[in-house]
Parts: sequence; C-alpha cells; structure tokens
Amino acid sequence: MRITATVMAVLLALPGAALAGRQDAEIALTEARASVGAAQRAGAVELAGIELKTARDMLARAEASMERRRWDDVEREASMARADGRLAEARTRQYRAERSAAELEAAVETLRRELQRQGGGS
Amino acid sequence: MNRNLFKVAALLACALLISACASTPKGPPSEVVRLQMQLDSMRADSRIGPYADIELREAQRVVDALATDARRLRKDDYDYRLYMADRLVQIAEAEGLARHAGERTEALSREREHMLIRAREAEADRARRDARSAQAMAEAERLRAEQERHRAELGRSEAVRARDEARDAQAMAEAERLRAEEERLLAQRARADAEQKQLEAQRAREEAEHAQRQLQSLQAQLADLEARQTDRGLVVTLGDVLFEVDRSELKPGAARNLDKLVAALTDHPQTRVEIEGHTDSTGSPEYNLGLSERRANAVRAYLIGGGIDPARLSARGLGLDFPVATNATAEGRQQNRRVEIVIEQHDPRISQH
Repeated sequence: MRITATVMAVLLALPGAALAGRQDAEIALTEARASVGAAQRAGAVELAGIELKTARDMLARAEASMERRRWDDVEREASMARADGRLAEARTRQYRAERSAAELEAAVETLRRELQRQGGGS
Repeated sequence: MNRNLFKVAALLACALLISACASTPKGPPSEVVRLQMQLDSMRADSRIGPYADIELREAQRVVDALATDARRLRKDDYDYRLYMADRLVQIAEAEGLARHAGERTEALSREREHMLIRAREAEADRARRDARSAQAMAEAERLRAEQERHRAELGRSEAVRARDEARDAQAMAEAERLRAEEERLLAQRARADAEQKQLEAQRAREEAEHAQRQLQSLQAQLADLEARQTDRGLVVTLGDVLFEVDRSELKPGAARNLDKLVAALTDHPQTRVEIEGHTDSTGSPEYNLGLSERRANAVRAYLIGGGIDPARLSARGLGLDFPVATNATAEGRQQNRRVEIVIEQHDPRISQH
C-alpha cells in the first residue's frame, strides 16, 4: 500500500512538485478516515472503545496538521491513525468472537449439566 | 618477542572489546527488544501462533527492519516506525485471538449441536420409555380387569355351585328323611313283630304252662293208678286187676280202676289214648297176640262207654313180645300180663305240623 501510494504520489507529483505533498496527505487522510469508519461500523464504539478513541485522536491530530498544511505530518499521523483504526477493528472482532465463544461455552456447559442430570435422573 | 607483543596486543584488544561491550550496547533499543519478546511469546502462544501466521510474519519483518535501522534513524522517524511496528504486533495478536475464538465458537456450536441432538434423543428415549411404561401400566390395568372379571366369574360359578350343593344337600336331606322314615317304619314293624313274637312266646309259654298244668293235674288224677311219666306220655299199667287168666272180659272189679281213667280223660279232652295189650309167654304167640288185642279192645270199648270220643282212642295187641319181667317165675309172668294205657298230651300246634 505504501508502495502504491508512493507511486501514485510520484505520478500525481509530476505536474507540479508543490501539489504532491498535499495530495499524498489527502490520500493518507482519506485512508485513515476509511479505516476509522470501518472500525466504527464493525462495532468498535461498543467493544473497543479505548482503541477507537486512540484512532480518533490520531485522526484529529492528522486533520489538525491538515489545517496547518503540514503535509508530511498529515501523512505520518494519518498513517498512524489508519493503523490505529485497523487495530480497533481487529480488537473489535477479537472481543466479539471471544464474547460469543464465552457465551456459547456457558450455554454448552449448562446443556452438559442438563444432559448429565437427565442421564443420571433416568 | 614479536610473539609476546602480539599476545599483549591481543589481550588488550580483548579487554577493550569486553569493556566496550559493557559500556556501549550495540543491540537494538529496549523498545524494539520488548516488541521482539512480545512477538516470540505470541508465536509460542497456541491461541495466537497458529492463527496469525501472515500477520506475525509482517510484524516480524517490520520489527527486524526497525532493529536494523534503529541506530541510524532520526528520533521522530524512529518513534513513527516503532509506533507502526507496535500496532502491527498488536494487530497480529488481535487477529490471532479473534480467529482462535472464532474457531472455538465453531467447535462449541458443533458441540452444542451434538448435545442438542443427544438431548432430543434422550427426550425421545424418555418419551419412548414413558410410552412403554404407560403401555405397561395399561397392560397391568388390563390384567387387573381380567383378573377381576375372572374373580367375578369364579364368584358366579361358586354361587351356582353353592346353589347346586344346597339343592343336593336338600335332596340328600330328603333322601335321609325318607330313609329315616323307612327305618322308623321298619323299626315300628320290627317292634310290632317283636311284640307279636313276645305275645306268641308268651302264648306259647302260657300254653306250655297250661299243658304242664294239664299234665300235672292228669298225673294227680291218675296218681292212684300209679301213672308214670315216659317219653311217650303218661303210662298207666293195669295188671291182672282187669282180666281173669286167659279171659278177655273185664272183671267186675275192673270198673273201679277204669272209671278213674274215664274221669281223667273227660277232664282233659286234649289227650289221646293208646291202649296196648301184653301177655306172658304161656301159649303160642299167635294166640297171645289175639288175646292181647281182644283185651285192648275191651278196655277201649269200656272207655267209649264212659263217654270218651272214639277218635281219641286206639287199641292194639302186642302179644308176648314186650315183657317187662322174666317169664320164668309166676311173679314175673303176672307182671308181664298187663294192659298199658299211654296217654299222650295232644298238642294242637304239634298236630298242625
């Protein structure tokens, strides 16, 4: 991705070097927003609040850098926010899977006790 | 010498190297070491290692690159790359744990499926058992009803039997009653018979007594004629008081003896009289037979003349054949000349036979 982004940045930078930094920053920011949005849609608000907050904070920092037109900072912070978003989404998936596994385990345990009681009772 | 110098130099170099190692570490920064340790422990973790191979490889590559570049990087670049490496390590961990939990979820849901099937099977078993036990109960109920019916039937047949038995008993009682009646009648008849027999016996006894009395009175009346009791009856022997020697006419004095006889026979009309004439051995037997017969008839004629029924009287001459004494002496011959009157007690019952 980074390679693709770099190639695209280079291609986009051809008309004018001045535009290249801003465009790279915007692309990175877009990717970061998409990552954070994906995490939110996956349910991170409920399940991975801390990780999501970290990602949003980082995204906010990238957007602030965007306001100040510090394209390198934007690119770097957006990249970090995107990683945070990926992590938040992964944690969301992890916690959800663990939660349903635990619920299922409890259910299976209840069922096992039920069956043993029936088996012993009859 | 040259060799010694070299030795010293080598030792110094070693010492320098050791001191350099101790004072200025050449390894990766502690943050990177920490990340490497995290990666190692994750790879060893059975919940992560097998499930996040690609993510772990990527994180490892990034951590390796950072470890290589760490000393050359600017502070902000190092921080950025450390941040990114840390996120990759954490993502690898999260992915691994997520997949592991997913797999466990699948395994658990399969197990739950199995258990539900088992539970349903157990339920079905229980239902079958319930059905069987219900069936068994129904069967037991049916048998009980059957038994009840049997008992009722038995009771009915017993009642019938009891009725039959009562009827039989009644019939038997009736038979018994009839038999008792019959016995009573038989007993009555037997008693009547016995009474009759007793009466007959009494009558016989009375008759015997009567006959005895007759005999006694007859004997008493004939006591003067020296009547003696023999098997044939009372026998009165009349010697030469009746007849002269060789004569068959009664002497006038004979009436005295014969009238007593007539009186006794008149008093006892139930008697029969046999008159037997006997002689001694003087003279021929034929003559004596005739003589004795004539004498017996003379006595019979006298008795008939005395009013005795001729049917009661028989007479015969026996001649010299039945002497009662010797004919050698005159005294003996006098005893042999005689008429014997045999008076038989005439028993009407005996005469009937």
